[in-house]
Amino acid sequence: MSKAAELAALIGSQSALSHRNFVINGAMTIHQRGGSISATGFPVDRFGITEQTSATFTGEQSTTAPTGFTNSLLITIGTGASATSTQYAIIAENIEGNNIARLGFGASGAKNVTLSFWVRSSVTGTFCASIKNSAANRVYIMEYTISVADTWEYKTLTFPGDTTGTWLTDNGIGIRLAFDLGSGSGTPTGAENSWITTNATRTSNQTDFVSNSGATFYLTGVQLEVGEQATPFEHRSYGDELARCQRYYRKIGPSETSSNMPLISGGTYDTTQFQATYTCEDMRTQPTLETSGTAGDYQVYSTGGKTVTAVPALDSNSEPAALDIRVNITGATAGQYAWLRTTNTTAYLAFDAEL
Amino acid sequence: MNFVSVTKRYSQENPSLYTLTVVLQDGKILSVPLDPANRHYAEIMRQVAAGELTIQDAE
Repeated sequence: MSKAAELAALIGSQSALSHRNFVINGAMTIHQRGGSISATGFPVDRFGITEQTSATFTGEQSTTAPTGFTNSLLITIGTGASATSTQYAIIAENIEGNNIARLGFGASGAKNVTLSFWVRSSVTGTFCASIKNSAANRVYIMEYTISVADTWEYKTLTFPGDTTGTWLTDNGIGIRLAFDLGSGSGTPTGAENSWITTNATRTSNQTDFVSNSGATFYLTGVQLEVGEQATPFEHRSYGDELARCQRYYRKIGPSETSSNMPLISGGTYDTTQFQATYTCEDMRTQPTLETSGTAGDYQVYSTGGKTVTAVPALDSNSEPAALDIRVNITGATAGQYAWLRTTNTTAYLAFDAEL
Repeated sequence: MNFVSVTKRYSQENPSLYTLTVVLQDGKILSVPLDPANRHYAEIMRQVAAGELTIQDAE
């Protein structure tokens, strides 16, 4: 085969093209936070749940998946309850504006995008997926049907490019991709298949999934790409996907085996304060430092353990790639090398720059 | 986002600067920079503007 033929074959091979998918962690493989959630939060990296109804639910990473995948995001309803008033029940990923700039949304020539995903639910019916801008005043809703209960189904939806409106192309929300699970009757509804200016995530046909006690909803293989044709899911290596997720959230620990896992190293600023600098790849913005909430979960070690009197905190000098971390301690000697470590197998530090 | 409390934490080196210490309902404690692009800070400011939240000064 000539070089030209090889190149033509490569271009024509959809699976050879990379960086197609705007969605990060679409295969639900990365779950840095661990565990499950029962309130608004992140059951896997990048996919957030907004669940404001009185239904009890669990959101978690599942190993139930269609062929070719190993994980999915699973929502299980405990005691079902319909959403009321302005309550929302949504799975969503906020896609950074920097990553969708090439779509040209908000101007003539805006490109169409196609969403594809695998879904499985114990509740059949009409469901809605939508894309919207950061201000939530440019919204496009499309319906899809879950036809058979407890069976994986592959769905594709093509959204037309939006030639008007303001679509951020910086580190803010470029596109909010949402899957509605039965938001309340008081939340706005919108017409299907048209650009609307109402902050809606559903049409009036949306199935009231959250009202079904014991119901399950699985989602994986989520891909949003340029064009009108859904291509095979772009599988990325675990390390590649993790690195992408870490622009928005990164976690150190907990250790499964060591009660004294080192977290960061630095020095004793004075007799009462430990100071350390944590550097990393640029996060999306200045992150929040997340701790377990218990000072006793942490210890500063420098010629012996120093008692931590308050959980680690950021100082005001932090930047997206360099964080100034301070810890109040007792019994230290100023100017000594020291490190912060855990005192059990549940303590951790995390940095949150999610959208 | 339900915050139990939000308190200023002043910098030891420059007492005119501070970050926010946030206690969540699940017991976790966050340290939030004053960055409008940070989602926690943006939500705190939204709740303050709506009269739903008061930022406490450091003790």
